[in-house]
Amino acid sequence: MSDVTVVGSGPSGVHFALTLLRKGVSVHMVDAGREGSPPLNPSADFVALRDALEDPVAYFLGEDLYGLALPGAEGEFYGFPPQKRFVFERPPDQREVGEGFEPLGSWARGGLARAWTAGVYPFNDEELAPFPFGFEDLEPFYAEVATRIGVTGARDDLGPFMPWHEGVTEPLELDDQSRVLLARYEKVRARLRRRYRCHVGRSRIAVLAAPRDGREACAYLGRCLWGCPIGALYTPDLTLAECRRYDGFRYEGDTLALGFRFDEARRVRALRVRPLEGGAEREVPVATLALAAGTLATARLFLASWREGIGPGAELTGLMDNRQVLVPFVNVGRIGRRYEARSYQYHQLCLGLEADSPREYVHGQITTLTTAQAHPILASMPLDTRTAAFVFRNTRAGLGLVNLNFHDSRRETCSVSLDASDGREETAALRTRYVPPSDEPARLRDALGRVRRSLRALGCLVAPGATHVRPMGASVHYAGTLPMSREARPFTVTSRGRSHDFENLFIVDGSTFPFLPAKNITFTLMANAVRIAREAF
Amino acid sequence: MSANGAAGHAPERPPLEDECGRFGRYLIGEPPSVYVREWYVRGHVRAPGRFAPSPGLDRTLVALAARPWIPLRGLDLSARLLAPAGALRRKLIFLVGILECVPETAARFEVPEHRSSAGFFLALVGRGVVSVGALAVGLVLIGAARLAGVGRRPR
Repeated sequence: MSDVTVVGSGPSGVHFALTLLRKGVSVHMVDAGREGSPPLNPSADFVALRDALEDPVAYFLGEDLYGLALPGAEGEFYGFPPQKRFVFERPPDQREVGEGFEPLGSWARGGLARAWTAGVYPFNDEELAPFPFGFEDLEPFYAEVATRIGVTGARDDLGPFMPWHEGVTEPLELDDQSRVLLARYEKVRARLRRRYRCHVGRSRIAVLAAPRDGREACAYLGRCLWGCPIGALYTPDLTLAECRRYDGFRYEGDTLALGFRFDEARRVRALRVRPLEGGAEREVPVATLALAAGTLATARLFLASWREGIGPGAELTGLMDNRQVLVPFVNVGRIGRRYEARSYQYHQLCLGLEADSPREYVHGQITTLTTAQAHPILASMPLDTRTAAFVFRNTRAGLGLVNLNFHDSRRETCSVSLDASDGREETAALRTRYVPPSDEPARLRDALGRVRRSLRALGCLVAPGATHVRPMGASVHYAGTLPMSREARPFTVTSRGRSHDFENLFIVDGSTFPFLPAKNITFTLMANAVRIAREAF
Repeated sequence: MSANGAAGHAPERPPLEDECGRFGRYLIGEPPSVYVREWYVRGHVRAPGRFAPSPGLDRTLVALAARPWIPLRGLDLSARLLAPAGALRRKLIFLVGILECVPETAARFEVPEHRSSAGFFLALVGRGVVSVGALAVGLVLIGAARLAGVGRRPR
């Protein structure tokens, strides 16, 4: 039996495991572990790949047209690439029901971060105030993770919102569109800051600007959306591969964790598992169990175990997610330019909106839409298809998208529970319930107004009616259902992730976050998992 | 299936291939290649539910789009207004999705036609004027077709 059994190979799981392994603690990782196909022509850029493919439609849209974004799904601006389908493919019995929430889960090796956009944003002291530690406590772990995964960024106007730490290297080359926007910002900075409390700066992203540890540097292939073919953009499977080099590590893939069994003293004795694609259930004895399956999957495991060992009816409250609003724009000065296919495809710039309370900071990621597919964008334009194509080809080099993220707080009205009302106990659905805060419409209105005016000052137009408020669940920044608490209350954990309900159970993913700032949480998930592994073992 | 198939004309083409040819001429000004037509048909066969018109206006729009003498822009614009997620627009966007994947036609969605924003906005205004006329024609035709019962039965 390994010292610690970890469920899940997402960002929390792999960095937790690697830290333990480096301390000499043996780890058994149980993981659904779906995997995709290896990338085609890894050295080819987007255009070269398209031109070289024998059957490009099969590649870009998929044999069954999975990647085709038809009218009716307006507002998303991207078709989801068939190459990343494995990230969201769920086993048929892992049912989910959402009320006011569209839950997404992953059974992939590396978890949902196999489809992330690599944003790496440390929380500052104000955002960490509800946590039992501050930035100074977390800073060494941010630095350690940055060194492991490779983070690029710059010290600039976004510094007050994204504290600096060790391990950040020089940023990537900007593409033309981002370069123009940043140069324009330099000219109107004072006005933007004074009138709209808007700041613009370089993104911090987990992408290598220089080769290291056997990984290649970003080659600006414009294929990020389809999955970086050279591993320059970090995904957790890279750390999993590093874990697998340790003798003390045992990886059990294609395995679905169903719950854990515990004794009368509330000590976890075994993990219930079965093959991912169905088959006989069995028990894996555990000494210490760490759940790192992601907030919703961890909630399912916890609730299923509670239901079996104690009884039905448990509900985990406090589910959080970032509301996201997409603001497409066109940079007028770029109209008529040829778009640059050779580029890093995700966000290279960020936009920060100050708020009266620092915790209500709004974070926006500015993505250029250069190598995005045309058809989802054409489908969302209020024009006939031919005119939409005309507009698209002439404005493509200036098209961009601000993805605004809003903070969230734990509330009793947002919860996760198991629903076996149809009598199917073994395959009870995970029911998520979400009620937005009452002040949300006002906050969105205020932020959108400031973003529109800021974009105008940057020489960009926002088409009327083009803004899209994404449904809750879409950001996949889920957190808050088993929060850290200094008091030993049910359904909470200690500051070191140890459950207050079960003696040898640790929760090391976003479930334990007592607050969700308006930022991608993945970097803090990794840093917190390293912290727990370092301090609790 | 290869992307390098040349455009050509079979003696008798099935309706979906004809539809693809007509939509291709509307979107890019020329008939699509064999590869594009094959994918267009294949998509309809593999995912029929995604392109099947609903009874009523949707079916009328698709039926009218099959008539070569009816200008597609007016129908497309009317569909954007009256049935934005309907079958006609789904078919057109599907074809765009195919065309942009193919090296021979990808430039239609990449290479700008106007070097300056002034030229672009001027051309856009021109297109706007044409569109208003096309929309008026489209709406009249659709109204007449609805009265005449066009598309009331499945094709």
